[in-house]
Parts: sequence; structure tokens; C-alpha cells
Amino acid sequence: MTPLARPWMRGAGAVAALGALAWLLDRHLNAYYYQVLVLIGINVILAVSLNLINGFTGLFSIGHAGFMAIGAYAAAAVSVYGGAALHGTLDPILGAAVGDAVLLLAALAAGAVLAAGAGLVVGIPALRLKSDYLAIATLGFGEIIRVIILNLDVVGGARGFGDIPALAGFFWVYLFVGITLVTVHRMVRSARGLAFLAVREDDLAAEVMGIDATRYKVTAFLVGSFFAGIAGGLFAHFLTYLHTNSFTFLRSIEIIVMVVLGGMGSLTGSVASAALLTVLPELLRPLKDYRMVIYSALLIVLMLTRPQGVLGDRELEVRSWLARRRRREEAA
Amino acid sequence: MIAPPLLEARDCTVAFAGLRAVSGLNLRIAPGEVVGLIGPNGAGKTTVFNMLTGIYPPQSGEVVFAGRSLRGRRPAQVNRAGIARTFQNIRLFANLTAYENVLLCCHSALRAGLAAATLRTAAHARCEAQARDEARALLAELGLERVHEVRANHLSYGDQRRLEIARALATRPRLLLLDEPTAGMNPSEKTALADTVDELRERHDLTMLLIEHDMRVVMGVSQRIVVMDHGEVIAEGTPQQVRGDPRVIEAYLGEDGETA
Repeated sequence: MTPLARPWMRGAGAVAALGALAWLLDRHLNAYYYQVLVLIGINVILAVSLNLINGFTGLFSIGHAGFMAIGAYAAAAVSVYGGAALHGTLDPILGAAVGDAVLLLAALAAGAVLAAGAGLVVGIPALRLKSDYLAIATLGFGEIIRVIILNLDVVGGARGFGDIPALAGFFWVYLFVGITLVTVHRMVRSARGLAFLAVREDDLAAEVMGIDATRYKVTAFLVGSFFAGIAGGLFAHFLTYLHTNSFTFLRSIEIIVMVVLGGMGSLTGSVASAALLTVLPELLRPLKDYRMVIYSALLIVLMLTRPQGVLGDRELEVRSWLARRRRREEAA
Repeated sequence: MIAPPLLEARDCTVAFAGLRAVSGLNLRIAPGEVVGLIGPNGAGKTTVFNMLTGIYPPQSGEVVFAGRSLRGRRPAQVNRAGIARTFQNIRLFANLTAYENVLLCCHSALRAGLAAATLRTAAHARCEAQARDEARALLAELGLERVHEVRANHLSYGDQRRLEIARALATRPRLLLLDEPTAGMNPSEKTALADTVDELRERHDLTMLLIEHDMRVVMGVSQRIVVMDHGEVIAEGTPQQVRGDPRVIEAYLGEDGETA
């Protein structure tokens, strides 16, 4: 076996297992739980991609909902306006299921590339700004995007954008959860990717040590907004209806809360807190009006007790947990 | 000097809102030389370092390194050209371990980029392995092998200073600028560091410019001393020449220095 064959096979195995699980859930899970599960996945993608920007690279962005909106509307426009043509050509040859998959991937690709392009456009001028100024600039960007979309009649304007084909379910969402996690993990946990953290720690020192800080900042924005675009596209093709109210700056704040709660610079922390903060409002449904109160209270308590987030910048890893336990046993 | 200088600053001036921090500075450093840069507080020594590394490019004049002008180069490019430095007020990557601080600066080993890291290519694996070896070797050289996994901000002061040097060396410089490398160290740590500096120079074929307030250290390590005051070079020569120079004594002790 060549060294390359093994990871590929592992990847294929994981996708097959995911497919089997999706097949089961699609048929047997009740619709409400299914929706919560899928929304958790979408939030994980958003939190992990924002963590690359905010947590690992230390750029305080409040514009993530804007990138998500671009991805959502662009992807939806592709499948709404191009869907019939694509199905017409592909379905007779490959069948409707393959046609659906190709359409979804094309829509997601369009959304992600457009969002990444916006990330680049925001990223380059915004990088002249530091901390709070950058936060305000990205906040403004997100709102501009929302208002522009609100006034675009091709994507429904204020009425909302409906009749989007329901192409994304558990399988696609969690496939992209996996891709996002693997990509960001490999980037920031490689020796080269430590440069993102160096830029966060001290961008001038990083520059003097030969690291092109601007390049890493732009890369963080580019990759982060790319995956936010994917999350938006999945969101559109799962809910089949979009309204700009889903992409206000409060949405950006929710994603930031997930990142901060889980730990800036902890991927597993982002996964856990995205899951928790998606489920929590559902559990608190009887007290719905108090949801934001609980949110805020939770944040205040957390910031007082653990300002670095639940996991800080550590990861939850079975391997390191086992190693720690072994060391403890040896010591005892 | 017959050999062409490795570094040459020609009539360089850096001013901040009218204050001339460095004024008409001329500096030549030959390959392999160790030059001490001394002067009273506020003389402009650290500004010279900031100027040479591209943080504050000179408003007039020019810095030439290895025969090429550094005009218009940003700090990262200056570093890649072969100049590395340490900071007087330690600027390590505080929340990263000692090992990570050094590892991420091993640029010559880490040629494969982020895309290769994401795709886990074979080239990436080779580069990582080489960088890991280099980082470990450098930490060992500076006596930091026992603190690999300790966060930089948890290290002792002396270890932080040594880690700054290890990190600068990871970028494989030809010219190393040390800004007060022994500040805050006790006498035995200072002696040890002076020895280390000598060894490193030999082993890494370095040229060095160091700012240092401890006269015993700077006179011991340097072949030549440059004295600055009020942004200008006021004296230059061997440690013996500089020690007896009346202008130097005046700069340090004031005009009544002779009577003090």
C-alpha cells in the first residue's frame, strides 16, 4: 500500500459510513430532530470557519452573516434559475439523483466562490485596520450586503426568496462539516499554519521574522468566507426559503458567541458550542422570549469564569486524553 | 575595510514628527564582524534596528544589504533577505510553546505552502520533518531543550531572551541584530550568554550587531564599537579606543564627566 492510498481509503470509508447513516436518518428520524441536527451541522461550519478568522488569526470580524448571505443567495439563484436547464441536460443521461447532486455542488461552488471573493474584497482594505476598527468595518460590510440583497428583486427582495429546491440534507451538510474541519485543522495545525497564530500573537514580530502577515490575514478571510458561503448554500437548500432577516448582524453575533464560548483557537470547542447553542434555544422554547437573556447570562458567566472559553485553545482529542490517562496511571 | 561590507547604511535619517531619532547615520559592517552599538538611553539605537529591519524605513539615505538596496522592502522581505533580530522588550509569540515559536520561523525548511499542508502532500511531510529537526536542534543549541513544550510567556526571563535568539536564528539570517540580549539577566547568565553568542557566530557564520548596556559584555564580545548619542554616531573604533574617547565619556557622564 502506498502511503497516499491509506488516507484516501479512510476518507472514502468515512463518506460511505456517513452515507449509510444519512440513509437511516432520512427515513427514520422525526422531522423536528432532523432539522435541529442539520442546523447544528450548518452552525458548526460557520463557527469553525469564523474561528479561523477570529480565533486563530485574531481578526475580530462581525461580518460572518454577510458572507453566509452571499453564499446562500448566490447558491439559491444558481439552482432556481439554472436548475431546469441543468436537470434537462443531465437527468436523461445520469438520472435525477446525480442531477440533484451536480446541481447542489454547482450552486454551493458558486456561493462559496462569491463569498470568498467578498472576503478578499473586505479583507484587503480591512487589514489596514486594527481590532475594534476592523470589527466595526466588518459589521458595516455585513449590513451593506443585507441591504443590497433586500433590494435585489431577482432574489425576491423584501418578500424573501422561495421555491429553492430542497437538495441539501444530513448527508451533504455533514460531508461539508467534515471537509471544513479537516481543511481548517490541517491548515492551522501544520508548522506553516502556525504562522496564523503568530500573526494573532504579534503581527509586527511575525513580520520581522519573515512572515507575510498580510498574506495570512487575507488567507484567513478568504478561507473563512469560502466556508461561510458553503454554509449559506446548504442553509438555502435545506430550508428552501431565504429572507434577509436570517442574516442580520445578530446572526454574526451568534456565530461569534459560538466561537468565544467554545474557545478562540479550539476547533473541537467550536463544534461543541455550535451544537450546544443550536440545541439550547430549542430546549428553551417554552421560555422563548428569554432565549437572548439566557444567552447573555451564559456569556457573562463564562467570561467571568473562563475568559479563554470552555476549551481555551486546546482540543478535545481522544488520543491526548488516552495519553494523559496513561501518564497518570504510570505516575500512580 | 577591503571586503565589501555585508551591511551599509548611507546617510540615513529617521524622524518622528520633527524629532530626528536617527540623523545622517553611516554604518558599515563587514562579513563576520561583531559590532557593538552603545550609547545613552534615547540615543536612537533601537530606532537603528527598526530602520535596518524595515519597520521604519529611512526618510532619506539608503540601507544596502549584501550589495542590494533594501529600499521599499517590508520587514518580512528584509528578513527573507537575511537580516533577523531580537527585541529589547521581548516580543515572543506568547501563547505558543518554545518549540512552536522556533518551528514556525524555519522558513527555509517550510518551503511547501499552506495548500500542500491542507492536502498533506509528500513534499509537505518532508518539509515538516526537516523543520521539526531544525527547531529541535536550535532549541538544544540555546540550552532550551527542557522547555520545548512550555508556553513562551511561562518561561523565565533569561530563557525568553534565549528563545528570541533561537527564533531569529531559525530564519537563517546572515546578519543578526541583538537588542540588549542580556538585559535583566544576572551576572552568571550574562557570561553564559556572551559565550553562547561567540559559539553561535562561529557555527552559523553570522555577522552581528548588538545593542548592549553591560560594558563588560559588549567590550568582550565586539570587535568594534559604534557609539551613538542624539541620533548621531559620535565615536567608532575598537573597544580600547572607544573607552578612552572624551566624546564618549561626555555623552555618558555629561560635560563635567572628567571631574566625576
